[in-house]
Amino acid sequence: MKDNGESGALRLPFWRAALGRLLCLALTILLAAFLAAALVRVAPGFGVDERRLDTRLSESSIRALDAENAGNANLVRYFGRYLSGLCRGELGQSVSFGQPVRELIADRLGLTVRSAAAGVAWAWSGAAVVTLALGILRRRAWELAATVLSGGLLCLPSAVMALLALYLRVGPGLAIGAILLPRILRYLHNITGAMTRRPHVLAARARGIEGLRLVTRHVCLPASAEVLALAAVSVNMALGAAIPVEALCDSPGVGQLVWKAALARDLPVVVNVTVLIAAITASANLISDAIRGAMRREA
Amino acid sequence: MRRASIAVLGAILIVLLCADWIAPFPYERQFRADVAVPPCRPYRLGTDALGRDRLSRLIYGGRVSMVLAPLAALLAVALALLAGLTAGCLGGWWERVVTTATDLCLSLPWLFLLLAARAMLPLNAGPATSIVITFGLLGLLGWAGPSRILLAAVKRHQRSDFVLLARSEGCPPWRIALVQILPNLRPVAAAQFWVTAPAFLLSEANLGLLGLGVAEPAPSWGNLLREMENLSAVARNPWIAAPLVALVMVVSCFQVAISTGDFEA
Amino acid sequence: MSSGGQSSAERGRAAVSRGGEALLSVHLSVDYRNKPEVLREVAFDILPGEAFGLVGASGSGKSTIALAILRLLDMRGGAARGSICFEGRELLNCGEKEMRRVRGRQIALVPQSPASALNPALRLETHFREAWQAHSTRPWKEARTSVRDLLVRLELPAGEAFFRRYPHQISVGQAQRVLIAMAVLHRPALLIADEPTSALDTAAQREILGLLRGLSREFAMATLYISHDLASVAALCQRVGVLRGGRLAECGAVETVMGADARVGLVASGIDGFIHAVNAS
Repeated sequence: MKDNGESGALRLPFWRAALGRLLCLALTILLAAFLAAALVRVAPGFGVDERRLDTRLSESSIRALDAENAGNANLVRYFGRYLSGLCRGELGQSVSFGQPVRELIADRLGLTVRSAAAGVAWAWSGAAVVTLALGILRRRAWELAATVLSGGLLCLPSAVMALLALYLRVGPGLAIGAILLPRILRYLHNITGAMTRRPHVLAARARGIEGLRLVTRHVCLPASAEVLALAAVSVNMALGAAIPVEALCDSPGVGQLVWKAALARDLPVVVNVTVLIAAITASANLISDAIRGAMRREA
Repeated sequence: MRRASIAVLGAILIVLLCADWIAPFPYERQFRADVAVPPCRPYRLGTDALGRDRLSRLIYGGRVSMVLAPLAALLAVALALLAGLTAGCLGGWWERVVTTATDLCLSLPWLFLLLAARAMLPLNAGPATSIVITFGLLGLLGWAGPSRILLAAVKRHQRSDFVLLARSEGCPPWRIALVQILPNLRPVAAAQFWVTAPAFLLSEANLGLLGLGVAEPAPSWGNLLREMENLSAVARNPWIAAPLVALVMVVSCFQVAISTGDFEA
Repeated sequence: MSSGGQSSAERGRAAVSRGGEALLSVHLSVDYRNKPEVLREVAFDILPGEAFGLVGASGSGKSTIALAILRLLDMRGGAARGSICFEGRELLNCGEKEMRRVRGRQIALVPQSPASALNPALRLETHFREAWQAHSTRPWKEARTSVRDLLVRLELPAGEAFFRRYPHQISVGQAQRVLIAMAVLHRPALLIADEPTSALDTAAQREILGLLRGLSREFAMATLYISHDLASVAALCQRVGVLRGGRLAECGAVETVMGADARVGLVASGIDGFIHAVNAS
């Protein structure tokens, strides 16, 4: 820490806040993992090892399998094993795919992350362009048209949008973008609308400031905290949209994996992917909170 | 505008509730001689690949979706009210538990949560069971979003002057929660219901299209949309999209009701 | 204003020792979460049946004392230290359950701002019923008649239609009387009136002061009357305390504290007639 008492005092709370948030994140993931393990443990069909039915196995092998499964009977011990496996990166074996869950996820995660990132980028670009244009033009007719169009798109289930994307032969990234666009546009519109009604914007217009400068500096900039929060939410929305898009457009990502696993009641896959997604979205929220906290401190 | 949209919704609901009298045929009746025919008499919307009358299935499916989605929304809002009221009034560790549970539920994408929960339950259940499972899950899992808003409202009302007056009269805390605070939550809870019901309609449609919703042969607007998986066929036979049109109409009525209504946040 | 070697608190307590046992004996300091020492060593006594006024500028901590006596400071993020002795009992040592038995039954509050003190979602009848059932096991139907009589006494309509109204359907003056009616429902020994006339015009103010005076005489009720308006305090109270900078700067009989000069000032501004009108009602 610096000798200068003031900046030293400013620095310490930031690290403490960040540490506190990381602790909350770890606890949340731990809780999710525990719930996941508990659900797999109590679900009907647990403890029935299909490998036992293999006639090629010898008696001693079957006894070894039984001994392994007996350890899982106690929930706490099961969770302990699950956690230690989690730390080593072993997430169990998929029942329907016959592969380790870790391999399945590793193969598919990259594609989903790329599609989701592309979708978020498309949606935000589109929403930003429309919001800026509406803010600069300020015509009721255009605003009404945008509201009606986004409202119409919001009435379509995401799966139908995915089907449209398949029909029009656009990639999963654009499909996710199309699903996200009306939602982000609506939220952005609400945020900027509320900011436009603030007195400082009226004062700026009275001074003759208009157009892009008004919208960026006096409307969007003060709303940056809420926009950041929306960014974290859009990560959540993109990952959710990935399921119908990848399932219906036959894109071999994590969304399609969890859909197929749900159809086959392959709980190890479903539960582990859910914990992974929870970790990703919780991290996105954490980063967004941290940046907002830092912005507030500098203000 | 709001009254008109609510009137339209009410009219649609009444029509769908009279499905037994209005629908020309039972939903599971197959006409093996008339498989996949275009609209004609007596099949106003044609028949599907199994020879079942599309119009009847649309009406019966609408009854399932339009009755159960709002019911599930009621369940979700009721749970959220219970959670928010108890957390706000009791405070302390209970409030922390509720807030953590809410954050955990909300940190997952909604569809992921639904899929994970659906996978825990048997998939080969009968149609009636699958209906209860689908909409029950929606109601039981959808409490987190409304609960956050209701909790904020409860905490706001707890600082109000009329609660101060009630405390100064010596009213016990549970009475203050039930008699003073709860009636003031009605507008917020109503707003949350109007937002949640169409969200559940769309969620059920997504689950249906993914094959995880209501099981055959029972129709719902969700699983009727599965016919749309082949969009080129839909382009040639646009009447296949009738369930989608119905769904969009109903959800847009909800949207108009929400946007033009006076809702206190 | 008065002068002398003794502090105002000591003079106030001297008056009590000459008279009888104090109903309420306060010696308080109050801190808020972001504002320490809002009140410092404020000490005064109230005799049974006496009307004690508390004046001070806005923000001097007058309402804080009302909340402190009722142990409701937690609702505004404050904490009190010292002693609040009511009928020989130390209130700061009482648990929440015990305090609930005191609030409304033995010490009642008429809060500021009638517009926000009534629950907008409840009918007036529900308000009265809640206040009644907090301290009485008699069924509400039996109590309705006596409540109606009380409403008539307070010059409010006593019909069924009035009971069924919502707070936004009555005037501010009527709302203030409803609050007073709810406060005296259980005939408390002490009534704390926190700026009961600040939202009203002069005529309504005069009526409310007259009502308060009449009620305290009829029910042998002591009154802690909090206000920033010197004239109404002078009209209603026998003794007055002046809050300044978080301390009780003056405390004693109205004539002594306000002084002959102040009295002249009141006469000159025509408020003297106002005081006589209140005294006559």
